[in-house]
Amino acid sequence: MITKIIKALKENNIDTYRINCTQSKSVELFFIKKQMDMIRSTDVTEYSVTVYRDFLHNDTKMRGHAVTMVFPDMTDEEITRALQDAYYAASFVKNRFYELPEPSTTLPQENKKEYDLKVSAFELAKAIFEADEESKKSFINSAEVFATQKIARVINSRGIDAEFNVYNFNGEFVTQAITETQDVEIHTAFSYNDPDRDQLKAKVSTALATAYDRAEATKAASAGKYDVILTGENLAMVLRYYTERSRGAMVYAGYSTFKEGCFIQGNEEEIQGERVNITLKATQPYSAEGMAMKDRIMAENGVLKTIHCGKRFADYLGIDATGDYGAFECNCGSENFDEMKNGALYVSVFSDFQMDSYTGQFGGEIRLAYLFEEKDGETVVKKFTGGSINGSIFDVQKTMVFSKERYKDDSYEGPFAVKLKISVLQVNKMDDSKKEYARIENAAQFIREKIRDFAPEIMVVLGSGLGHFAQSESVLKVCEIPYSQIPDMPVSTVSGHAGKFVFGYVGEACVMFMQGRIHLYEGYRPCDAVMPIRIASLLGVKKLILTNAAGGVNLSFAPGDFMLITDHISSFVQSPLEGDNMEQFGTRFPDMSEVYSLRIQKAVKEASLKIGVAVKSGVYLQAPGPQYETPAEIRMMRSLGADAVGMSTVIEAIAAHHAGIEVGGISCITNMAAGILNQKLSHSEVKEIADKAEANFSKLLTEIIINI
Amino acid sequence: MDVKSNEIISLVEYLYDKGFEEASVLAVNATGKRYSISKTGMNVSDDPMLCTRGFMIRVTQGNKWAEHSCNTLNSEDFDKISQNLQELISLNDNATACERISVENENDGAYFTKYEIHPTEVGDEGILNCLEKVRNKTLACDERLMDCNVFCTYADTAKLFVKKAGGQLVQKEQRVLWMTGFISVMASRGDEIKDYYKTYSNLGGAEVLREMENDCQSIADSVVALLDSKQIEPGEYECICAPDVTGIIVHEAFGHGVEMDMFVKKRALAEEYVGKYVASPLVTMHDGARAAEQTATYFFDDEGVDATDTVIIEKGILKRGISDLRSACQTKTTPTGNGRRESYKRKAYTRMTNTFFEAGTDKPEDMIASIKYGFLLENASSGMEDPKNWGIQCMVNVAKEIKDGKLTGKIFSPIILTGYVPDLLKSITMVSDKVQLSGSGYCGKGYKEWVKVSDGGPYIKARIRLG
Repeated sequence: MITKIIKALKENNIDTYRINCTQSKSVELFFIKKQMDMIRSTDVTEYSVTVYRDFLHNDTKMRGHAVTMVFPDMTDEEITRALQDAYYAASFVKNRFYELPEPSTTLPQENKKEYDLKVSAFELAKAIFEADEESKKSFINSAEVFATQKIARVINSRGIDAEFNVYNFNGEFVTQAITETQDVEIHTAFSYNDPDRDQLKAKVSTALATAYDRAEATKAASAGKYDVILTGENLAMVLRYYTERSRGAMVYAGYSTFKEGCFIQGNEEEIQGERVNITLKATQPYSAEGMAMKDRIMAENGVLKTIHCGKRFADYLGIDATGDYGAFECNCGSENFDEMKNGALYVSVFSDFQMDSYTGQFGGEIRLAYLFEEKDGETVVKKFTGGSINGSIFDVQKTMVFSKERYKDDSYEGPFAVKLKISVLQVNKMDDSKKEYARIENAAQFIREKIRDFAPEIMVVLGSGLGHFAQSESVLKVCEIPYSQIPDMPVSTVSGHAGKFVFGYVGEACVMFMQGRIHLYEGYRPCDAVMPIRIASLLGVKKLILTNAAGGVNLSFAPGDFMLITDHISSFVQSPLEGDNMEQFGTRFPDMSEVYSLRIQKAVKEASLKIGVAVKSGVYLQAPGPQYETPAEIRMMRSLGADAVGMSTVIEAIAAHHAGIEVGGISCITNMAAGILNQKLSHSEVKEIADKAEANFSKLLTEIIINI
Repeated sequence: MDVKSNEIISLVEYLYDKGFEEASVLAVNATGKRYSISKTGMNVSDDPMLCTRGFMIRVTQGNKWAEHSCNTLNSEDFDKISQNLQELISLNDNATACERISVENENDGAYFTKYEIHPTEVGDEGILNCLEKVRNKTLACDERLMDCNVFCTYADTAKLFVKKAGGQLVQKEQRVLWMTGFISVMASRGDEIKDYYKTYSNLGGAEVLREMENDCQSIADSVVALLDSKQIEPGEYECICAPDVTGIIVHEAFGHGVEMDMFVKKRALAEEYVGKYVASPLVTMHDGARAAEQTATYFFDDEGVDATDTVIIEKGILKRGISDLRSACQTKTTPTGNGRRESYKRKAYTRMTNTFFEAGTDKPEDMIASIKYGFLLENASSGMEDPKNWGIQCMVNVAKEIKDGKLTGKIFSPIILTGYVPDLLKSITMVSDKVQLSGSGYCGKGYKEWVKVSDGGPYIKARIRLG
């Protein structure tokens, strides 16, 4: 094929050219746990032909170029057309003239080893699963192994004809650890020029241990200033700022101010840490242009020795061409890793660590970090996950400290660790109370945006069968919002509970109705059940009327009676205030001696007298539900002082009182509790009685709202 | 299609006759060119990632699947190919379970995307002239600009898929043309170089070049403004995300999380949340090669499965994931046509296509006005997924400060956006009324296997951790 291409170039009078031929073979294995999900092989040969065309532009000599791909099954006509098109395109590419490289006089560094791809791929897979077998706390979730051989040949019109053989053994694996509280994974990539099974096995073992550590880490480190340790590929990423900025293309374009002989770590007088010594490493015998590659010193004690680039930018800059380098080696430092760790935050795993060589910014989200602290003469290690770091090379390059220990992969060899003073460790994960507050605030904000100027001052929670009030003539409705539309809002699942907020006016009062409540027996947590109350608090509600359908415990009550709640018994349900206190709402230990406002109680009594609807008084007890109480339980409740029992209200009253909301409560006695009458209890009976009491309830509630 | 379809059919028949349960070949013949101009010079080249020509051959034997990729195909090599595939199958002595499922609509067909102007009609000279004009116009906007890098790329990809299974031969053909453009400007603040960019993309041809001339001044102004940018005080803020930031959130936050090959590996938390609320009820999310007309549009995927429009989240509830053929077989679900390869040389994985949130009803100006203190986030640059733990990390170039409902003119940069995906998605409280998609980028699986994708959505308002 190369003969065909050269013949076509000559026939078309294309005198200046370069041909890059790559024959690539691979064996690829894909595993889920220890089982193979797929096996593949490739055998592909490709030709990339660069044609050059010289011309004058504004009296300046130009050398344009264009690249075309040639494939093995192309016909002669197709090859000719591709080359002609490229040659035509090159005439519009206005780049200053430069020479192509000539054959090198020096011999390249060459790797003469030969490997069997199938054998090597399976050997590396075996190494991964051997480490997996040895791990007790974590395991390999999945793995991919690629064994690739590339035979590359570079030919140019100035006589270069270089061929070389490169192997690459790369892939990735995911380690997973499951503890009682967490199920986490770590993704790790590997890439070697030799099938180094021992190095891979060690890497897998480390990653397995790291996954378990991550599973044990549950919180983020506190925000603040730290000595941060970065290791391995993350450290290489930071140092890559220097190798990128010393590229000829960066220098020529003015993106980099590096010059040979300049100090590349900022102001030399301010250096307190290590000075970098960087050697560019030749990982293949020839560059893409066919120049022999060798290791070169790029920086010595922080001073730039070599700008590296191919022939074009070397000619533009008037320097020697070196070829483009991707790998480098850096000097190790003076401190042991163990010494470095004291007092430092060692960030072992990021979700995606990045360095921007233009801005000098680096950072990423922390997946696993260790904080090493001295306590009573001993080192205490804490594990953290979450938060992020965001640093600048311009801030940290003065104080970098490298470890004595070494690290090596296919593109970096040098210190295993670096200590950097990073002034800010970014945002923490929120603790639970902050998270819960954010959830409530978020829902409140959603509602604010819907109700806009409407500012509710009273909230009324409508109990089972009493929800129609919100849709009655007593209410001038402004809008309604189904719970299902509100972010993270629990949804009422009980028949008779519509599950929406209704906003409207009763007389002149701005009222927020909760048509359908959230019950513990639906499987919700206390914080879910009281979320609407807390949302109301954030919306500015100052007064709350709780209504419910209750079972009469007091023997003097009858179905259809109303009971003014004067106090409650909360001992049978979980408190909504458990866990971290939300200081935004109230104190840690709120007083509960007057949960039900005496002022509202007085208003209820006055309303009852005014409209002629009798209202009894009593103590309400919240039972967990959903089952109704047994006769024995009712006897117990009566002996404890309860007059009515239900499955709601009390935790709402506690949350409201905690938040400084004035609370009033009315129960509609819809049935007598178990054992009082000789009949079984049902939810339909509760609704039926509540429906019958609706007319009186509406009158009473309207009067109360207007007068509080 | 300019490939040897007769030889491909012969190979499929040959392999089927050799006793493989199923044999298929994906043939690709793609031209793809890239044009660029910057201070480093001009360039016209075939893009080696897009300009490919070769064959992917797959055989299955029960739960064992094997593939071979090559770029020569002669009938005298059929036996060698068959033996190689047989050996690969035999090397797999402990295969994962995979029960064959029948795929509906396996009909023959030929499909083509539409365009106004094919890039070859404009020609290399015309395209370079256009880019040079955009570059010169941008550089003339402000003398503080250090460089302007302008480039465009197009890909014209023809694919032929031939399969034989159960005695039935299926043959499908498609041709897709897309083009993208990119303008990036740089300005320096000492050693630090700030950049700002804008991208352009379409399912179509050189008509995309027309749009590039319109934004020169605003791009120049944006990078100059970045010279005065500050580092943000880390915290959780009310944010308005521009469509490109919405896009990266959609893509990273949930797109990767619903790739069903990750379900098979038990690497995606989303598997446990199907049927549950994972986002605000304002959120409806799509992915699909047929869900939008952008750079990830196609008619059948790289395994011959017809493309679809998958509703992933509907009004906040996670409905379903997306799948390649093997993960669909393994999860006993209908494949969604998301089996994609970086090229014929690579394995197919479950991959996103055009991924986006549906529009809402709000106006961006009302959304900004609703914020007491927060930021308008623009110019997303990259992101990283964490389907296992639903972490998200995105890099965003610009955060514009909003105070009392108004932009103050203060800019913060660069920004790392992090968070727990459901927290972020459930915190969405406003959604603008127009969707914008951008298809200029590529998506990797981990750090490799790059495929063309588009993503986007409307402006969204959410609470987001910024650092």
